[in-house]
Amino acid sequence: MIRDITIGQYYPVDSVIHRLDPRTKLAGTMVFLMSLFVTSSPVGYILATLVLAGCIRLSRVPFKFITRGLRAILVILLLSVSFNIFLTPGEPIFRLGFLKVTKEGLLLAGFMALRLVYLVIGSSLMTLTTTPTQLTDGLERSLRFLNRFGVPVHDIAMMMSIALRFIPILVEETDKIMKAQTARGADFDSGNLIQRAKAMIPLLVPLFVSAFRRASDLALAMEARCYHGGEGRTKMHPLQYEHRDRVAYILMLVYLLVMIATRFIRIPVL
Amino acid sequence: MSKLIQAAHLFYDYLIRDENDNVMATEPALSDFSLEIEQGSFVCLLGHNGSGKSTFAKLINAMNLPKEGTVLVAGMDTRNEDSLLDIRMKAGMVFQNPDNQIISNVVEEDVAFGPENIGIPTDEILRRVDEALHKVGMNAYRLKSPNQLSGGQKQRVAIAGIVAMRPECIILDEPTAMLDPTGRRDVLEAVHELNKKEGITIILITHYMEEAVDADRIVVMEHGKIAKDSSGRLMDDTPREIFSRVEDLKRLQLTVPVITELGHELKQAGIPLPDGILTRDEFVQELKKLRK
Repeated sequence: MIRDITIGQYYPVDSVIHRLDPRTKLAGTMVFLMSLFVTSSPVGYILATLVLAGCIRLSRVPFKFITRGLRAILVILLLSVSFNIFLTPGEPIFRLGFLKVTKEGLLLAGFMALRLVYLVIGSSLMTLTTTPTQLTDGLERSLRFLNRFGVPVHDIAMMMSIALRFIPILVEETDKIMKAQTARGADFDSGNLIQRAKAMIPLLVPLFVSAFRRASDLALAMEARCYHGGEGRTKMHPLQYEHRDRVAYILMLVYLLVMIATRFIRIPVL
Repeated sequence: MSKLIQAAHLFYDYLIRDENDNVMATEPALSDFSLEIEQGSFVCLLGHNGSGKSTFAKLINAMNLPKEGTVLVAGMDTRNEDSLLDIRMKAGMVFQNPDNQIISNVVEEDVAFGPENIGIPTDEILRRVDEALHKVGMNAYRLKSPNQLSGGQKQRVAIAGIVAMRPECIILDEPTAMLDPTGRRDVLEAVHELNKKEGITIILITHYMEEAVDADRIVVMEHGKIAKDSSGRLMDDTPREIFSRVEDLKRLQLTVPVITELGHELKQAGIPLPDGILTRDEFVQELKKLRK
């Protein structure tokens, strides 16, 4: 499961989406996430689907690669879907013992699942098309105003980008430790939930130790390369809005307005 | 030649603390260690684990400060906090694990990290990144993710990251320890190239004797100072001289290059070969001389 996390893995191809300013992409992702919660009508979801499909198409990232991130949220997805199906009061369709499946429940569960799936796809799309450094730069620039309230924006952004850089490395390491422990008789796949959780201890301890060692090494390497916080830093690729970013912002605004509008347009459901 | 690095009478201790952060014991890492390194030279530091090589390396670019003694880098004292960045710019450092020193997910962005930190203007950064990647032969991988590279390639990216800061000296702390033979060769080639073509001073810490053969000078360390051979001379000399002292090196838990060892063994067995044969070609030449 852990290998399926695509968030934070940059997919290096050249596309319009890749070339957009990270601030634009951040805003776009926010707008998209907001729109998912603003709308509640099928028309809205159809529109969101079209927009998302269009963006994926433009990004030239293979669809398979994007959906890989979904496996990681499968459990949450199943849980929230079943809760919604069984616990929403309304017009019953059929009964399963004491559980009652309602039409409203089914609809709500469907929307809920779509929301979650689109949420993950939307944010994966952003991280897949934006290098962590760009992402950091984008966050740092967009949130710079928080500096005035004493929030260390640069440091947080740096921490984020380093975390993203080390995800694939630590995943690989987890895999290695797992194999090493399996070779020595550890069993990660059988037993009940508690037994499995206990089996994770010999995995987590070496992983933590190694993560701390890496962190200490990295800190040293960064210091040796003259890192001294955000002050006086320049950029190889300073952020600059281009024509395409302005177009993207206009499209985003239109999209958001339309999505809000779908809230008020009543279309008879089913 | 001028002295780039002047270290005089250095002492450094590692403190061992108990759970309450009280100092339990001190572990001396350097004791009265002095060394001067000439601009443009290629110096190799040898010594078994715990002999103080890495400690010295960290004192050069002010990662640590000596308990006693002074380190001057191009005339700047590492104790002086105002010159901290200048010193780290002049003396760059490459570490053992390539993964733990690459910060960015894209090669060129990682190379740009150093110049960005010291506030170089944008177009100059682009020029330097270009230049640095060319110098280590990694230009083709500019937009790749470090995760797609081999260990040797990652290490060359790390070197490029230092080169982009235009250092006068690069300290490499066991840069090839985690690499396969091909990666090791590529990294060393890049380092030698930088030394010869750019005149960058190289301080190489290594466990591989074969890597030390091509240095200008070898310094063997033991117990936090320069080791002495059986006749009391300091083990700080050219590779040929150092590797002539096979028995001394063995006493210091070091090996010699295989070919040197072979020459030594043959000499012990009564064949009149000279001491300190460093390469296979040399060995062949000497054998041919004997046949005549």
